[in-house]
Formats: sequence, C-alpha cells, structure tokens
Amino acid sequence: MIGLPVSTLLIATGCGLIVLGFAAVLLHRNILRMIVGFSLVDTGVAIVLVASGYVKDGTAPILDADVTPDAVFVDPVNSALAVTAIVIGFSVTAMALAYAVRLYRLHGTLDVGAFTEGRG
Amino acid sequence: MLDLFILVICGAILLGGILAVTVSGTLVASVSAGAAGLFASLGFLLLGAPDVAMAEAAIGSGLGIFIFLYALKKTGQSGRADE
Amino acid sequence: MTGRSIHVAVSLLALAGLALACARIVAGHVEPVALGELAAGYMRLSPEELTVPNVVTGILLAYRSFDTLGEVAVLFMVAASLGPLLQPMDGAPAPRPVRPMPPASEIVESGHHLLMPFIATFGAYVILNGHLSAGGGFQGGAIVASGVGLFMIVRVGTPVDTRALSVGESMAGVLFVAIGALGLVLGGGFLDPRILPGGELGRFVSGGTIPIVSALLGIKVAAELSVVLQRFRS
Repeated sequence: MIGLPVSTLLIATGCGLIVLGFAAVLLHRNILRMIVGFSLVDTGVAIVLVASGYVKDGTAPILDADVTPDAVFVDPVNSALAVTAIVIGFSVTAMALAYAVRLYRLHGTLDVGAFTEGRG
Repeated sequence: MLDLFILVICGAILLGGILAVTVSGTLVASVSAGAAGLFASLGFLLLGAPDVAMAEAAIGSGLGIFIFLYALKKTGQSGRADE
Repeated sequence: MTGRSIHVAVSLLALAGLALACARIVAGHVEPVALGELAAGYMRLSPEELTVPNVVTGILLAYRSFDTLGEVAVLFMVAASLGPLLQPMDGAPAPRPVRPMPPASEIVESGHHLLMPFIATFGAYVILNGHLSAGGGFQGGAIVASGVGLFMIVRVGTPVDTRALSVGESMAGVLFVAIGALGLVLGGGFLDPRILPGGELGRFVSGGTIPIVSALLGIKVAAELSVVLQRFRS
C-alpha cells in the first residue's frame, strides 16, 4: 500500500496521540478533561517506546519450540520499559483523579479557573 | 492485507484520541481515551510485544476507565455536556 | 485581547512546536534490521543463564528487578495515600448528594457468577506462566483486579476488605525482598534467580526463583490495584 514501515506508522500515531493529549491538557478548563489528556499522552509514549524497539520482520522475544534462537526478535528492553510505564501511568492517573475529587469537594467545581483566580 | 489492518488500527487510535479531546461530555471523553488504549494494545501485538499488549488492555484501558467512572460519580458529573 | 484568548494562542504555539519536534522524530526514524548490543545480549543470556524463554520477564524480574521493586513500591504508596486523600473532609462544604447506585441487573449478576471463576483462573495462569509465555505478575495481577472490579459492580453494597488485602500485599512484599536478599547472599546480586536450580528450558518448573517472584509480584499487584479500586468506590 504505502511504503512506510510498520514502526514508522505507529511512531507517527503515538506522536499524534501525544500532541492530542497535550492539546487536551492545555486547552480544557475542566480538570477531569486534563487528566484524560494525560492518560492519552501516557498511551502515546508507550506506543512510541515499543515502536522504536521494533526490528524489521521481528517476532516477539519469547523462545519456544517453533522459534529458533537465531530468528529476528523485537527489542525486549523497550517492551519491559513500556510495561513499567503503563503501570506507573495508571498510578499517576489514580493520584490525579484523587486530587481532582478532593478539589471538587473543597471548591464545588472542577474548573481550573476557580482554583487560581479570585483568591485575593 | 496486513498493511490495511495496520492503517485501520492507527486510524482508530487517532480517532479515539481526537474524540477524547473534542467531545463535550467528560464520560464520552474518558471512554474514548480507553478505546484508544484498547486499539493501541492491538498495535502492540502487531509490533511483537504481547506483554505490553496485555498490560495495556488490562491496566491502561480496563482499570483506567473504571477509576474514571468512579471519579465522575464522585464529582457529580454524569457525563452531560459541560457542567 | 482577553486573558483566555492569549492563553489559547500561546497553547496553540506550544502545540505547534511539539508537533514539529514529533514530525522530525518520525521523519528521522529508520526501522532497524538488527538488535542493539544490549538487547542481543539479553536475548542470548536470558535462555542460557536464567533458563527463561520469555526474555521480557527475564529482564523485568532478574536483570532489572530492582526497577520492578521500586515500581511496586510506587503502586503501594499510591494505594496507601488514596485512603486519606479520598476521605470526606470536615469543614468543607458538604458534597452534593450522590445518587446511590442501583442494584446490578439480572444479566450482570448471572454473568458475574459465570465469568468469575474463569477470570480468576486466567489471572492465575497468566501470573504463573509469565516465564514461559506472554504475561507475568503485572498483567495477571491486573486481570485478577479487574475480576475484583466486576465483583464491585455486582455487589454494590459490599465493601472489599482493604485491611486484609493490605496484609496479604505486605506479606508478599516482605517475601519478595527476602528472596532478593537471599540472592544477594547466595547468588550474584539482589534478586538473582539462580539460587534455585535453573531446570530445563521451557518447563513449568524452571528459571530458578522467577516463578516464585512472579507469583509474589502478582499477589502484590492484584491486592494493590484492588485497594485502589475500593478507595475510589467507597
């Protein structure tokens, strides 16, 4: 179809997701929408991380009876880092949501403007 | 054939991201972000990283949406536009 | 110009810069045809030294297991700090009363009965076969925690006992660190899996302590994620 390799396509997708996520963080006023943006950035970074470890025609780095050790494998370090990144991303999202709930209970609103303006 | 599949997946990921940013209800936005994560896990599978695909499907999009829904309930936003 | 439109203009400018940087990354990307030196080393050493066919698990639980320990520590701190953060505050305006959740429908209820054993079994399978096929402690723990999430949806009024979960999680953590310290004493470093015999590549009992560490990690992650879910629910 188009001549681009798989990993380049997915890196482009991941970068697009990162830009979209930052757009949500910068342009929305609702804190929950900002957190949605951060989780998009998370997914995008994981995609870029894994895609940059892809080797042409590589298979998963799991050896079994069907795979000979001299086959072409995908970089396992990137996969391991991405697993870590996803779990930490979930923790960060949980923390951010807890703070959002707490701010809502304090101010009765989720609008970021209410937390910075009019403090006097 | 596989090329087409990859393009469809990339398009679905980006569509989920665009919906998550532009749509007006917070509930729809968080579910769209989760859908983007689910398609991303298909992408991980194509990139030869089934471990990451499993983690993303279970944690990133599964439990992620779960805590978003409870946070929405706690802040009294039932997903209607711009409360 | 109002403050809001200045904000939007500056944001769009920053986003354009980010998009430009990303475009340069994409344009400069060349798909490699061979692994780098480090990755090739791991691919060679993990089956030989550790007798672990899944190299990702080998990296997560042996070569970079200290990272993994730090990661579950982060997860533990998040689970612990959500409790005080999400507690109702005194002195704050009363939160708008939230409608109580209606009881789960018949379909969800029967689906829960039908699916729960399969979810738990699949979670245990993924945790215990982490060294042989895709999966491991993190993924299996998340699957078990999603089963707990299904339980939370069906039994609306029943709280999950976070104290019991914390006890189980702490015991798993202590054992994890103890095995790590044993590796430091008997083997070549912290969490060295070779203090038990490696066995035959591809068998269920192989890879030294890696299946045990994986099971402990699975218990820890499942308990921590369940605590996080319960904190958001209560």
